[in-house]
Amino acid sequence: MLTITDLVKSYPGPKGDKASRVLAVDNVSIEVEEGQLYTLLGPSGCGKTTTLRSVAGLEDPDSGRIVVGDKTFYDSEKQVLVPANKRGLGMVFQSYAIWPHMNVYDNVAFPLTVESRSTRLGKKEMTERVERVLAVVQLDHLAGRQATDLSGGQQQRLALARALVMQPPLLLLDEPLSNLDAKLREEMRFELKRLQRDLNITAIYVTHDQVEALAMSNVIAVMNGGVIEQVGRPRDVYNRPASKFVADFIGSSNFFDGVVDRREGTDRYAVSTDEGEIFATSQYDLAPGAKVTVAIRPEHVQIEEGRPEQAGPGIWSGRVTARAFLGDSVEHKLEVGKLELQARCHTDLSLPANTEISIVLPPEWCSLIPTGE
Amino acid sequence: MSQAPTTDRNALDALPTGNPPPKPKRMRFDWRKLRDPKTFIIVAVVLVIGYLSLVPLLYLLWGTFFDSTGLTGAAFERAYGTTGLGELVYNSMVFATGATLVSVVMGTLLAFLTERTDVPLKRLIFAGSLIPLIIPGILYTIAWIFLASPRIGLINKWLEPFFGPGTFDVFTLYGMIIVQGMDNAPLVFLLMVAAFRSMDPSLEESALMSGASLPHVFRKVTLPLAKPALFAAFLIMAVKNIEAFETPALLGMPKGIWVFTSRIWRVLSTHPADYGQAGAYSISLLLITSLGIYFQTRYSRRGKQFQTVTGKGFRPRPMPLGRFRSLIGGALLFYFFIAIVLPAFILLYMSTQPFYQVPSIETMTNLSFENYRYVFDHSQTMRAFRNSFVLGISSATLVMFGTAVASWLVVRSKLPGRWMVDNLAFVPLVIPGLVLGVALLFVYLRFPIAIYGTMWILLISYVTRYMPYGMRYASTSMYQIGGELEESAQVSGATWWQTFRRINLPLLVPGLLAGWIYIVMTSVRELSSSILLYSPGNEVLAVMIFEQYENGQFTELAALGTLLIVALVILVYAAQRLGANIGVKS
Amino acid sequence: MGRGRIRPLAAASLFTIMAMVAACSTPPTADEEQPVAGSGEEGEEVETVDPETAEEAADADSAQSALDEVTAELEGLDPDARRARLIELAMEEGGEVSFYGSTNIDDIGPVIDAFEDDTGISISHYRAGASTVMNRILQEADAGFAGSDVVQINGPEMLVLSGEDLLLTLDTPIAEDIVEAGRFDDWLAPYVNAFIVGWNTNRVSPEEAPTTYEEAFSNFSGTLAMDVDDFDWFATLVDEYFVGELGMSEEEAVELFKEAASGASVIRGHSLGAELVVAGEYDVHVSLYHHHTARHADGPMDWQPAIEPVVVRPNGVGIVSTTTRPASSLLLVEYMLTDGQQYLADVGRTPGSTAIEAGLPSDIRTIGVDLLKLEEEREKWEGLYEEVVRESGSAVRE
Repeated sequence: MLTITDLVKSYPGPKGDKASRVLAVDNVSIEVEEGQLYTLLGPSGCGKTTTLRSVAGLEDPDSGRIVVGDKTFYDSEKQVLVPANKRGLGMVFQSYAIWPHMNVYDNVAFPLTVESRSTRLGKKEMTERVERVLAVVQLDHLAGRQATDLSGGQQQRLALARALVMQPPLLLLDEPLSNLDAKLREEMRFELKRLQRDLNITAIYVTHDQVEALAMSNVIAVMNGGVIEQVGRPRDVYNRPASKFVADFIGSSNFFDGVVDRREGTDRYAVSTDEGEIFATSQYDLAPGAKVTVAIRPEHVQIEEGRPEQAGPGIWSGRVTARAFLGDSVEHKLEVGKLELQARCHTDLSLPANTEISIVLPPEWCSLIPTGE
Repeated sequence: MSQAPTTDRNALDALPTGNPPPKPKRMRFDWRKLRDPKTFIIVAVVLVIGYLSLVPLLYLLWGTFFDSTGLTGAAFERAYGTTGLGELVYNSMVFATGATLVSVVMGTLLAFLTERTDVPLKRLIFAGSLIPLIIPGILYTIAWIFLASPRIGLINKWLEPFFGPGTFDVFTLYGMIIVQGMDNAPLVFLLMVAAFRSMDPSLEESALMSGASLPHVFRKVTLPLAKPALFAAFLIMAVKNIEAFETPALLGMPKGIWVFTSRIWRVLSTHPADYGQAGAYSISLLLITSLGIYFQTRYSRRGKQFQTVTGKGFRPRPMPLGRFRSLIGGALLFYFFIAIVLPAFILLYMSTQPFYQVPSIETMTNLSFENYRYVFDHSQTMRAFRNSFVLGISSATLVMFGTAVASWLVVRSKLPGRWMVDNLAFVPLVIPGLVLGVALLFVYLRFPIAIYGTMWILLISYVTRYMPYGMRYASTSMYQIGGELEESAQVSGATWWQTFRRINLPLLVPGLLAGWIYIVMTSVRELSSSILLYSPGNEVLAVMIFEQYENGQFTELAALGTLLIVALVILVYAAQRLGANIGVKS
Repeated sequence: MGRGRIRPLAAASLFTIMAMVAACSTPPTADEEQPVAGSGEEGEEVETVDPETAEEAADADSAQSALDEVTAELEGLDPDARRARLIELAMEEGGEVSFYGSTNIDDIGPVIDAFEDDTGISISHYRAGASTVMNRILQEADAGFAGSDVVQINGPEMLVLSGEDLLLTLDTPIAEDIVEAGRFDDWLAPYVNAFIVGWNTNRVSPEEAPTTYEEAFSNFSGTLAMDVDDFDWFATLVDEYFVGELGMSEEEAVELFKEAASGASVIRGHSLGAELVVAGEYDVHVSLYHHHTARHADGPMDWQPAIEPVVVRPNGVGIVSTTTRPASSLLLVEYMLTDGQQYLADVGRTPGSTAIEAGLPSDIRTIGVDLLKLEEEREKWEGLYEEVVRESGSAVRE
């Protein structure tokens, strides 16, 4: 549906000369399939918005190719650049970009009224179309209201209606929920997902909120520093972070260093660390002796009061140094030799500081990330 | 657990990284693009602005740097080689700084109160604030002589029982500063009205909510958001006050307070006029303002913070003043009484007298409408009224449309050298009106199309003279409009022109309307170039004003001024009604 | 809905365009009063501000010879016949004349109306300050544009035009009647401006009223007013009166003015000066225009018995060398200097013609500004007067 190939976009650097140009998007390639909700996830400044705006036609990339369906929107080789207003995409902006001088109906009808005369809908069809899309987002009863009189959630739905009214092949969503309060955001998250699935819309979703990304996406691409760090289904990205950055950015992780001892299976390795040997999983092809970082999420660290009954790979003994009650879980800070770890446990288990414990690091939750050198 | 995120990014990436960013490709300019309205309109506007400002500028440069011997710097030597310049510069700086502060502070406060708070009597304040704009400048200053001269000043007469004779002396540096400041406050007022009207109050409200006091919110939230407007106000005011002539001539000269401009005026009134020397001063001024504009454009690149019209929760709503409402209302009325009611009263009183005398029971009971009859009997009055308003309205409309496009170019586009457009549009501000007039004469006397001797040359002159103001009004508003509003229209399929017409223009309305009102008002009293360029049959009101002034018919002039005020109030009211229908509804 | 929104904008632009077209479609010089029908000869197209005519603008030499031809034809005719013949010739030229002047409409209007009534020639009249008129003529001549036929401005500005060879030499019997100070080869004075000392009668009693310049200068420190531009008045008084008559040295005389200035306020504009004296802001003003006092006849201002000698400066009328209508121009010049004199006298001006006794009473002793001499020494006197006015207020400032 959407194919981006080797997209590059740079901005003038602080000195304004060519050498100091800052790469916002650095050779990004993605592939989005029909009906997918594809999320670009990353911290601010990672290039996700620039990528999205390049697809929309609001940024003029340096090089690369952008194809939607069978239409090439941008191709630096062939010198193709379709302007934003000819791309026929729908977009929801972070600020909603509701036009404050129009009412609800006019906002939604705008994309239809600016079409060239030959393809423009008749008055009746136009009204019908607008009303239908307003009904979809449940704003039909507010059509005559001034846009500025809407609540935050209503404005958000209005922006969505405006983006959908042209029935675009691709919907671009630029942090659409970030301006809502927490409660409303949760509601809208499901609403948006339901609409996308029901209407079978292909959408690119840009966000820095990992919970949002995990909850809504079919595919997540984690971006950092202008490059894509990992692409995958939400579960894979969460459970098998391919880089320290991904592991840290999505949820939180415990990290410690180790060296690969040997391969134990297709994706299973034995790794020696300062605190003892563990078994771990990795999608990388690692040779013995390779330096790696072990990542494991706090909720996957299992602890039990008392010393471990039997020692073995991934079974360590340690001590609780602190704990915190978080409502739906209890967080323990642990000490294993010189290593500090965090474990998030069910509320049934709450151990005071200085309790001796046994720690289990299950191989399937221990991810290995090569450190490079 | 923090780590440098880039260290291991290439682990997964099959894509080549680390190669230097490719050079951005330049698409070659395609002449067929001119058929596209965007390119056409922008190119046309830039060409027109360039043409309008370069004509007088080149004439000025030519006069400054060339004489019969060729290239020369002699004009600068003449201009800056004079003895006693130090005192002139000192007086000018004190005067310009003081007057700028007075008008910026008063104009901003008035605008803030009328636009952002629930202060009483808003409509009255709005229309009233503009009155000094239309009173012929010379009359406003004369009215102040009659109000605050130590010998015959009405205010001094009133205060005499309490403070003794001559409480106020208008013939002093501070008298000049206050009169000039109050005379120019409406320009700032209009600029700031536009800025405040397009401001999202939620920012102020959230500050109020967190316990800040109103003055604190004004200082910490409102003012910083209005920075582009404030900058524009300061820039225009500073230049205007350095160039001001009437106030220093009428209030400063009598007591030996000479300023810079008295020199410019002097070198222009000699025979033959020394355009070179005048040019030397103008060019110095131009360099300073160019610097200012250059830095503003650079600075505002990071200027998302000024975008107050965003597509989210934008709801203009006044802030309650609470228990201070009547107190502040009273203070406002007091300012009003001083700055507008008193001078207007003097004007009205003068207009009913055969000559000015200190008001007394006798003169007050002996009113006559002779002066009004004179004005109406004057063969050219009606024609002059019509010509002036046609010209004023036409030039204001053209200027505001052109500068709206130009400000889009400066604020929104990423074209290299766009600050030059801003700068070009500002050039006419530093060119003395007389020099502009002579430059236009020079060009259009040699022009193949009959523009000389028609109204068109006046229109060209007005559009040129008011372009700088229009540009400040338009770009100030443009800074406030969130970029996403325009982008969302683009993505919705709208062409540049559709976006400009249906999104930008309506959102710019507060600023454009304010600029429009300003230009219509002040063009009516434009004298220095009108008097040189009009032709028999094309008389404008400025010609009548000039005539009555030269002839010492101050009372008739006062009658004309009073009629102008009436016309102004009607026009402002109509313009506001029109504006209310197209702008953001509050 | 979108349609409805743009309507005000569209209406505004439409209005602008229509207004401009409406305002500009009528030729600028076509006045409301239709010119009396031309004689149908070739001179039909006579709009003054038409670039076509600009190209045809006569150069100075040919205009001069055209004027000389006209004058030759008039040779020996008595005044009435001369006027009749000139009207005939003017009609052949198109029956219209373009007149640039600095006299305000109230004063010059009656002359123009009478001229149009008496001769049937219509006048297109441009008015502005003397230096503005001068600038415009200089610019038009530079571009070879026939904008004006007749010009009437202050003497000093007439001299500038004369110096640029922009005025045609006049050969008219009427010159004999014009005061000497206002009689030049290429221009003549329709009236003179007299500088008088005026005072406010509420503030200055008849006994206190100054009788000499010295008294005016020294007795009213703090309430005295001077004009900022009157270097010609100053030069004439210093040169002809203080040095020439009283035998002072030039330095002493200038010093006298400086002392006066130190206790005086400097005003820009004679009309404002007069207004402020009437209003009581100043007691005495040392260089008011005589004709302004007539305007304030009812007000508390007097200037008599006059302080003598009164400085008078001629105003001038002449024919611009770009003219294409020599006969019409000559007709207007002669009319202004004969029949026109009475109308100027009626509004309180002091006629340039000695044939009419009006304006400044003839028993008052006057000195004319020596324009030619002043033009040569201009820089010196401007500089000296600048020094004088710079002293303003220095004695009364704290």
